[in-house]
Amino acid sequence: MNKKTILLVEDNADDVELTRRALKKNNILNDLVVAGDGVEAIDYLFGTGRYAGRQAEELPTVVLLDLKLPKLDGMEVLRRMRDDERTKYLPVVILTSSKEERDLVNGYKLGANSYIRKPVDFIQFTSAVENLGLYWLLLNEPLPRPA
Amino acid sequence: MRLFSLALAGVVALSAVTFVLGFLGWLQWRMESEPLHSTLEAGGGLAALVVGVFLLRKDGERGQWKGLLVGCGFFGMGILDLFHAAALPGHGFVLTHSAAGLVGGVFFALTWVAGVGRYESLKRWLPLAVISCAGAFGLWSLFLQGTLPPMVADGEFTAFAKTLNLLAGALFAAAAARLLLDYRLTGNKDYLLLFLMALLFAMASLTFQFSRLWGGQWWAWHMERLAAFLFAIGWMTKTAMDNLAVRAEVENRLGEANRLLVLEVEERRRAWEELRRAGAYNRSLLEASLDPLVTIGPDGKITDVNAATEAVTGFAREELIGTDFSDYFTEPDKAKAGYAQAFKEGLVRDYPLEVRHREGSVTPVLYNATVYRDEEGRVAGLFAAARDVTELKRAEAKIRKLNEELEQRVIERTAQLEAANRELEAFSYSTSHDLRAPLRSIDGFSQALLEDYSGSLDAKGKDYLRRVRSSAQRMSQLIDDLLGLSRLSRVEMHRAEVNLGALARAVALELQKAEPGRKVNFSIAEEAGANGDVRLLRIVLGNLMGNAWKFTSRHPAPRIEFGTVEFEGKAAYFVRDNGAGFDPAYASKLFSPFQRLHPASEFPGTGIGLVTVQRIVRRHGGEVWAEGEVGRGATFYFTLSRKEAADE
Repeated sequence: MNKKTILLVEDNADDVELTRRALKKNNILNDLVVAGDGVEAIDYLFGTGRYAGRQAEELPTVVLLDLKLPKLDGMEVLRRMRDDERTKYLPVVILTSSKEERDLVNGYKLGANSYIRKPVDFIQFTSAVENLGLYWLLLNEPLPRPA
Repeated sequence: MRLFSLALAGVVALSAVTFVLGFLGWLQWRMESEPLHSTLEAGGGLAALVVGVFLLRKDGERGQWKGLLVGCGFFGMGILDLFHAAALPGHGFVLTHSAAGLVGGVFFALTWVAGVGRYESLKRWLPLAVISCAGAFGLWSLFLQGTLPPMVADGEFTAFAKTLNLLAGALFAAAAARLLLDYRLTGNKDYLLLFLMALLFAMASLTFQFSRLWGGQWWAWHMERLAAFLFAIGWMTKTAMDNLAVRAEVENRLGEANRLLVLEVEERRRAWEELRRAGAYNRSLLEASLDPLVTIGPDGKITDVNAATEAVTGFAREELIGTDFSDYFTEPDKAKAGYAQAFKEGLVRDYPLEVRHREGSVTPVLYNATVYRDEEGRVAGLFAAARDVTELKRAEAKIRKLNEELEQRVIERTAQLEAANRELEAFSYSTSHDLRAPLRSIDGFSQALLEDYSGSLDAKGKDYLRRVRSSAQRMSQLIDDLLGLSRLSRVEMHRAEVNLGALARAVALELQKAEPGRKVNFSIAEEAGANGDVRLLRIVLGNLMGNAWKFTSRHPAPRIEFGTVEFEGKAAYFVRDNGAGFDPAYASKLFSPFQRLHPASEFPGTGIGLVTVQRIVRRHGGEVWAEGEVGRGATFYFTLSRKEAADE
């Protein structure tokens, strides 16, 4: 019960694999749910479409959101999340390789909690993931779930 | 003149005296001499005739009249006295003399009514009539004296004779009064003469009844009368001569005046010729002008035009003159306003109007008009010249059209550029994202291999994987640099006054912070003013000083300088180091992208830094160049201009 899930919204399989490995290396053993595109992410969060039937109350602890996604892109996912009462306060970390200032600004404007740039250097990447995990899963106090 | 009038007056006075003396009985002596008497009478008669002739030639209207009448009187008297001279003492003797007196008196008295009737016709026949009648009567008296009433009876004058003479005397007296009045009124001396004679005759006739034939007083009277006549003739002659003299003088003066007049006329003629010639010259000027010229009167009607005006309106000169000036324009009210303004302000300049030709075509013109004034300074009219601006307008229209086209093209070009920029922007955005992802995979899985399968890999295998990783990272750096470089051209420049000295210090601080272990001697100018984009200039200094920092890493006592120097009259900035330097032979390659003069193993870097500097400096309208020596350091100079470069 109340397992802290991480929702990773990422279309790049390699990045998924590397992230999974990095998490493992840092002993973050939470469940990692992967959504390959924006629609899948929304479906999962609200229990629609592919994930119809899922208990929507069981939300992930943190969402790691890539921006460039097929079908529905990251910003749109974020917007929808913030528009919905259920997911309004769900922590979202934008994890993207984009260095565009525009994306940074828009991300924060739309209500992202954090913006991390994916470094090419894997070692740095691993370190970033470690920090993320430690912070959002352990240190940060999420909004309490309605009982 | 005075002499004659005095003499005559003297004679008259003498006559009066002698009459009185005779009356008193003093002049009693007697002398009988027919021939003497006849001579005296004949002389008197002739003199009378002469005086009559003189009088007929008097001037002045009234004068002419009176002259005619008195002249006829003298004729009558003259003729009858001639007969009297021829007569022997007897009835005809006295009758003729008395008749003479009466005729004279009548005509003299007629001066009172002078001016009645037609002078010209009277002048022709009256004298002749008088002479004829007098002559006839004279003959009658002489040869038919029996038929006439007696003059003498018993040695005494008859009542008839006395009456005749008294009548004559009265008439003469009346005439005398008239003539005196005339003298007083006009001051004409001739009236004085006639007055004196009339007076004399009046006295003679009135005292006739007291005269005794052949008596002293009787002889005295004859003498006196003759003297009077002679004086009168003398007077008249003198007058005539004076007149002649005056006339000669006048003619002389007239001749002189005429001569002068001729000269003046000649001069006038010459001046007129000049004027005419000048007029012709002026006229030719007006006609030669290609600009339509027109004069307008104060009422707005055309008073004159030149050939050019005829051409532009299509009307002949005669048709244009007298018509309203504004009739020939497409906007008559505007034309009217134009010349109203000209009349008010004295001139009008470049007033635009359109002339309409008779056949419909329209010529755009600009009018220049000035008023001209007459001698009293009143406005006499307006002189207007039009300038055909068809060509001008066409040129203007063409320019406007070209400008519009140009603007249109600029708009299109700008849109194109903006579109291109946006594409580029989008491209670099996706590039930065899409290119990095595979790189991350390469690096990531290489590392994963190194970590997870280190047991299965020998040293060489690990080395290969390490190279793979480093290449991936390098590629990532290259991508970043390239993207940064391309962005530089598109980013908007915000120019401001920048202190490069302060900027250099900030960069130095950053470099030091990044590697706190290194000790570098910085010598940075206090103030280095420049005009440019502060962010871009920071990149420039960051690159140059970063390079200096990098290439002095092996120097035991590294020194980095920043300052200003004068170059070709302008301010130039420099970053100098005492590091590795470079071979000046390869200086040209310094600013080529990715070209490096040192292997990456010695000094890291992608080779994009200097290209970036060059691009930024060029965007500021300046230039960058370098001096260096291997092992002795390098100096990089750059200039900035105040204005944007032509090609950003």
